[in-house]
Amino acid sequence: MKLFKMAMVAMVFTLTGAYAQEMFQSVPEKEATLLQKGEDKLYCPNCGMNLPKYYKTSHAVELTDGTHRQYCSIHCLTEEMEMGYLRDKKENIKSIKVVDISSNQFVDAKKAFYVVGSSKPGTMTMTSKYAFRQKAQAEDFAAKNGGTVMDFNETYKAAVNDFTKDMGMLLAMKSSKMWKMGEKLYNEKCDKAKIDTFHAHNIGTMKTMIRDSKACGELDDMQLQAISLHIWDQKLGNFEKQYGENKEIKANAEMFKKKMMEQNGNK
Amino acid sequence: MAINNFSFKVAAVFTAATLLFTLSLGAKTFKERVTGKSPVLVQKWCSVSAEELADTYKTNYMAKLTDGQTKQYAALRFLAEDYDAIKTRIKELLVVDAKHEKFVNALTAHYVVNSKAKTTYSKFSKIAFENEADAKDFVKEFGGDIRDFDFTLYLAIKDLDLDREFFKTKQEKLYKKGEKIFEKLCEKFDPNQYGSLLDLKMDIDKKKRCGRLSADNLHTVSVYLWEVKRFGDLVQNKNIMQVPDKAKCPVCGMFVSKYPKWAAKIVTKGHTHYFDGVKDLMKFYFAPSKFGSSHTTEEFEEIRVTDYYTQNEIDGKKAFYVAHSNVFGPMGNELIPFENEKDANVFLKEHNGKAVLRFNEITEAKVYELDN
Repeated sequence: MKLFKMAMVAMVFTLTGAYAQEMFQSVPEKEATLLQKGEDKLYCPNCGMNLPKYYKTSHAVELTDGTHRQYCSIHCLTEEMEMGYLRDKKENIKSIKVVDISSNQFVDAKKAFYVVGSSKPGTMTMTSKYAFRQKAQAEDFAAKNGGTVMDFNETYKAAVNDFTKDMGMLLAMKSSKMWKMGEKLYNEKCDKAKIDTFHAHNIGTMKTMIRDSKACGELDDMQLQAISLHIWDQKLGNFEKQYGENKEIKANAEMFKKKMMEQNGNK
Repeated sequence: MAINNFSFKVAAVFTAATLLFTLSLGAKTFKERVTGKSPVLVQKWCSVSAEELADTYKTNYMAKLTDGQTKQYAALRFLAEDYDAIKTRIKELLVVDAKHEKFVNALTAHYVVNSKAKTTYSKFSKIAFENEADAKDFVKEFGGDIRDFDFTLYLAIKDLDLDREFFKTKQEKLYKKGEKIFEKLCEKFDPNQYGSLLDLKMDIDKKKRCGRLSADNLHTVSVYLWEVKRFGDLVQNKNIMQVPDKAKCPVCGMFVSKYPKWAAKIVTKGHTHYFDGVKDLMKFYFAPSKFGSSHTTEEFEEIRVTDYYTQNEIDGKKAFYVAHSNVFGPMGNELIPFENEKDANVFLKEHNGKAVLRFNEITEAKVYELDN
């Protein structure tokens, strides 16, 4: 019996370990370049996700005042550019940068070569988009993993086109998993009065406040993300405010959920 | 004297500043007003906002519906507000090409979004061109990005809250002014007799219910009557259906409380479903599962509808319904309920109705026929 238990623990360990390694996008925190400054630099200001964890799809915008905003993916960049923080600040954008996955360094996104739609997993999207500084490397990657080589403008356009579909997928994931997990953790672990006093401009900052204040005790990144999503999207009503009127996203989410259920059923 | 002198100086500086400001912007302003001689106007005012269509002609939209109705909108924002109500009935959707000032297919047009060009009804402008080259020229002058219709509509729907918020302060001032005009100049009449803001405005204008009004005042008083007075009057009618503010129609997703004249409901054991018209109620009644409900028709205990003339809440199973009349509800062609057969027949004659139906004569096929 004891042996069985130990075996189980070992299995869970390997599974989570394997899971972490399996994330194609991740690099160890110390190997990730964080271009944004401040306490909240570890997180995407648009969705709160951990930047080193999704480093290989990371994008950054350099503003004319020299500061950066760094995103987990071109999906979040698109969202801020088209309908969020950057929407009326386009004139203040000095440059857009993307991680070249062959060197893990930031390069000029407008000069990069993207592979769109390969078999490698995407971040916040069902159609992955990875960038390379050199065209030959992008072509090589596409030959191995599928996908089409595109420039930044085409890739950005693809991200815009994918947007409602991807938002539907994200809503399905959030509502079936992350929000529920976040609500449970919030009710069990958090100092609610303390969290009520937090005023954050974006979810990345909110996540940092929860982390540094230890208002919910010690958490791993996924738990922290789940609580932040629950507070930001649901308790503060930001999701409903942004997308409540949008039935296309809701319909896409329902479709995605159905597909997920069918797949689970087949297994 | 000193004060006069001072105020003169202030005024002079102010004028100079304004002049400078206007001049510096002169090179880069986009005007939405019609410049061509013959704009296509199916009506004078916007189907949703009742604003003057010619004023913002370059951002006009037109929707031709399967039930024969044609709606024209002053800007994408108003089409977005109406979109849920019309989207299953759109036969043709047109938008004005801002360069050539003519209607073109909206679905294939190229839209410049987030440019520096200012428009009246949205904080972030969305301007359409038939040719991509024209859109590109516009981007050169005003900045912005070129998007397709789906994404532009998506932005417009997302901007609705923002835009409503943006105009809220202006709107509240308007209400006060509208109330004054109504109290001083208008004959007393019931704003609840109209199906839309546009109908109300047209009727005030045609019947001179407020005497001779300037275009601005006519609009102001109409908006006040439609958005404020209408609800104030309804509160006095104790027999009216009480609709919770947040109740949404499960068929079309619109807020039912905005259309008290058309409110209808189905009562089941656990709870109540509200609808913004009998047509949507019947769609739900025949096939609840289509709209994500686990109810079966047998579980529906009570049907309640709103009498078109009296606005009283009445028993839907005993009511008389007029179909295919020329009076449209928020969802277009309707089944219009009356408590008395006599009223239904009067309405039928006055509004070119085709039939008076009892509740159990209504079939699912007849309901969907209304949309064609």
